[in-house]
Amino acid sequence: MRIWSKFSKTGPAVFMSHLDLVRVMERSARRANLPIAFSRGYHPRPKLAFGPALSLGISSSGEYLDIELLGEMDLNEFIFRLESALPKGLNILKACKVSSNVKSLSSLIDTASYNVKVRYSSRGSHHVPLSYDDLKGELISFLELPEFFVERQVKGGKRRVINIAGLVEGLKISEHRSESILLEMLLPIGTRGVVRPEEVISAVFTKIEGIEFEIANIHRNELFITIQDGRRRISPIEYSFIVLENLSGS
Amino acid sequence: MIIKDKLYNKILPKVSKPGRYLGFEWNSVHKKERGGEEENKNRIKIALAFPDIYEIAMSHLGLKILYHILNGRDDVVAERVFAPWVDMEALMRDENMPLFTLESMTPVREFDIMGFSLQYEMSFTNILNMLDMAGIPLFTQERGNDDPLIIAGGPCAFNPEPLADFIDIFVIGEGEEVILEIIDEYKRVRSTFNREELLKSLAKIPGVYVPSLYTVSYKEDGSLEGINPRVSGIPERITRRIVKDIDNAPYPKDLIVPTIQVVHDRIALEIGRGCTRGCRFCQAGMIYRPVRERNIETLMSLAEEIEKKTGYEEISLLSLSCADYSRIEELIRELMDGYEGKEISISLPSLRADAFSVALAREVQRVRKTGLTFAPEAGTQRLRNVINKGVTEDDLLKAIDAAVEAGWQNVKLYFMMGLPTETYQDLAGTGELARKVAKIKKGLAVTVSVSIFVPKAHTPFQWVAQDTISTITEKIEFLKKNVRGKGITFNWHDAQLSFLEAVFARGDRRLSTVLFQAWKMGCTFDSWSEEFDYSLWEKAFHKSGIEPTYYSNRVRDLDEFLPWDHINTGVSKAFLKNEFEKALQGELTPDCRYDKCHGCEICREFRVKPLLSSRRGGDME
Repeated sequence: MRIWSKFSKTGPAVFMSHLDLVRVMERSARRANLPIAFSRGYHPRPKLAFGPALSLGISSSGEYLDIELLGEMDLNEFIFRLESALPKGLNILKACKVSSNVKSLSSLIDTASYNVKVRYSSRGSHHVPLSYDDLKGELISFLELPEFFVERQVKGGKRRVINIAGLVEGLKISEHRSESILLEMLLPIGTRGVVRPEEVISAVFTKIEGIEFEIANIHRNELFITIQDGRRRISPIEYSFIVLENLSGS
Repeated sequence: MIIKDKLYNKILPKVSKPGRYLGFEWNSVHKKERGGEEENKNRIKIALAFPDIYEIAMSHLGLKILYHILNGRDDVVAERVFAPWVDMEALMRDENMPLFTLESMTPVREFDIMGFSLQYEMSFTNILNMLDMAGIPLFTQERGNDDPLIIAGGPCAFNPEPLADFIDIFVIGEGEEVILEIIDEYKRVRSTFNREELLKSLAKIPGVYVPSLYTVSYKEDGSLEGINPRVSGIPERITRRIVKDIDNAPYPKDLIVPTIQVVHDRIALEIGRGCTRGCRFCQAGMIYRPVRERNIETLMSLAEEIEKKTGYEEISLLSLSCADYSRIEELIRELMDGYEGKEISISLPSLRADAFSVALAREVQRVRKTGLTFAPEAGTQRLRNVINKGVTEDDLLKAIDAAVEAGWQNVKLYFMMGLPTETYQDLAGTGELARKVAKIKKGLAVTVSVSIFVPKAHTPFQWVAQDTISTITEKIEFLKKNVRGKGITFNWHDAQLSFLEAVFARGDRRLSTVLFQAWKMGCTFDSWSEEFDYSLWEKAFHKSGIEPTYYSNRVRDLDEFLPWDHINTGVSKAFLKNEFEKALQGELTPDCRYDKCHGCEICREFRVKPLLSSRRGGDME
């Protein structure tokens, strides 16, 4: 039986790297006494897989785990047992059954939504808050740029320059205060390319004159799978239901 | 909670491996946050400290045993605190954040007791640094009634003198035997808290050494005359504490499962304590006697419970020499039968260099042949006899043969250089032996690791001089040319670091000044090559007016009073002297488990007998 679980990563778990998370989940699944399936070969590994990795320091309420069990298990019992074996900061939110021919989470998931809180202050002695309209203007002008290059460290210590203009799929203000702004953004992730939330923030705020800014926190809300040639964007849990319906329909 | 907010928002996002500073791992105990205010006020709060980073600290079994025992008591709260790595220290100092415990993020200063684990000499400056970061006065004499009681235990407590000015009380021997007695006495005296009275009453507990209650007297030539109590009612010699009934001794089942990867990230199953092989350089072989093995039934039920409570995928057997466990084959068979189907692997560190050990390793590593390590320690039979390493060239070659046949493709060989009576012929033997090993099979990778001999207190070599740094350097140059051949890689240890280790391993109370100076000049994490700065240590010695070679490179007279002579391990000094003399003659002393008693006196001192699992229920009661 193959199960996809949606989980959150908050509090102390925010500082858990992806590699740590893999180990923690494997050990939690053992503690939960789940009948985990193992790969064959010289180094049998528990059959656990994840969606796209979350950077260290980012919290999330939309992470996904793919786990294969030997035999069937009630989903509520699965959630209860795994949840009780997880360390503080990791929580299972939902679980659904998926058939074995469904592709992996990491190959299906292509979009992520984030909330980013930015704190800012004016240079000089007097703080002048950014107006809502000015800020909106800045966002629009960023979205309309033909090109915006960011530099990234790639494997082997090399650097690569990438054009992120045109890749941002959504950017809006969800909270506007005199010293902080909460932005919601929808960004590509996975095999088709990646834009990082901090790259968008730096692109937008560096060109606003007379302010200093810092990212207060980044939260990943949800991961999405795009279907119907880009017309629909749904969560992996919704995806599993559609796949299930299609199967029973045919 | 001020520390928590600052930590999460300002510090952890900037630090490398933030997981080192978060105490929310599975099985960590959070009594303080859960207990009521009144309940917490009455609890004795103890911070278990390890003077190195999280990854090292969490690999240490002793700390886990104490955490388990202490938190098992309702009237005690035990939390952990480790040395923040240099990047974290800088951020904490910038933010004026005091050293805090992992579990409840409480400043260590607010605890009743802070207990350090002393595993290696080169962690001593970290102790000073942690005290300083905690805002606790460094010197015993400067601490007042409001400061925590600073205690320390572990192997380095067997020569406590270099730390005597900083530590209030030392625990000599196995901490699980003493810790609750200390807690109870602390509880009894605390209502009328007076530091001096507290120390005096703690000094009466067997196995507790309170250095400030002992006076050191010196002879005119600067050597020690004696270390004697300056108050009545406390022992002249402090006798080590031991666990007699190891089968029923408390053992942690709910081991903390670290979130970040630590050095030993697996279940440590301590199968036994003590080793009587009698290698003459080995301190552990002397200070953990007698041999006490846990029963197989006990071990199987411990393994089962720990596995369920932790979810670990590997069980590692722990003892000074695993292959010497009297029913090792039976134990391994039972473990393999019980855990192979659950995809849990078994590992066997610390193997002897013989074919029997390889057969055991082969049994547990059926598929993954990661590498085998053997420690012949010396290059010639003559020198191996001097150190009483009961292994022959034939044993080693047969072991390698068996390993190669079983499919291993790389082996590590550990040697020591600078051993007593060593000649260049012995050193040449290292290269010869390595080449013989490499020749056994084409393509076999042989790594030769050479460490520098550090004479240790309470061993038959406690009187000898360490080679000078220049001699060591010459010998390393020789070995670099000598340990060569197809498939052979040569590694060696740092001469200056080993020199300092030798100074502190047999140092006396006068070295406290050096430690203080070195720390003030910025020495911390000295056992980390990227942080070690020998020139600072040279300055510290110079400033303190202390000549380090007096401690490392001087031959002691057999009648000299040694700085650790007031610490009684249970092994008699007469036995050590006799062993030293036999060493010089190249005479072997076989293991008393399979031979006659050689009179180390441990069984008489503690009224015990070696406790072997195979002899249980027999005539040993």
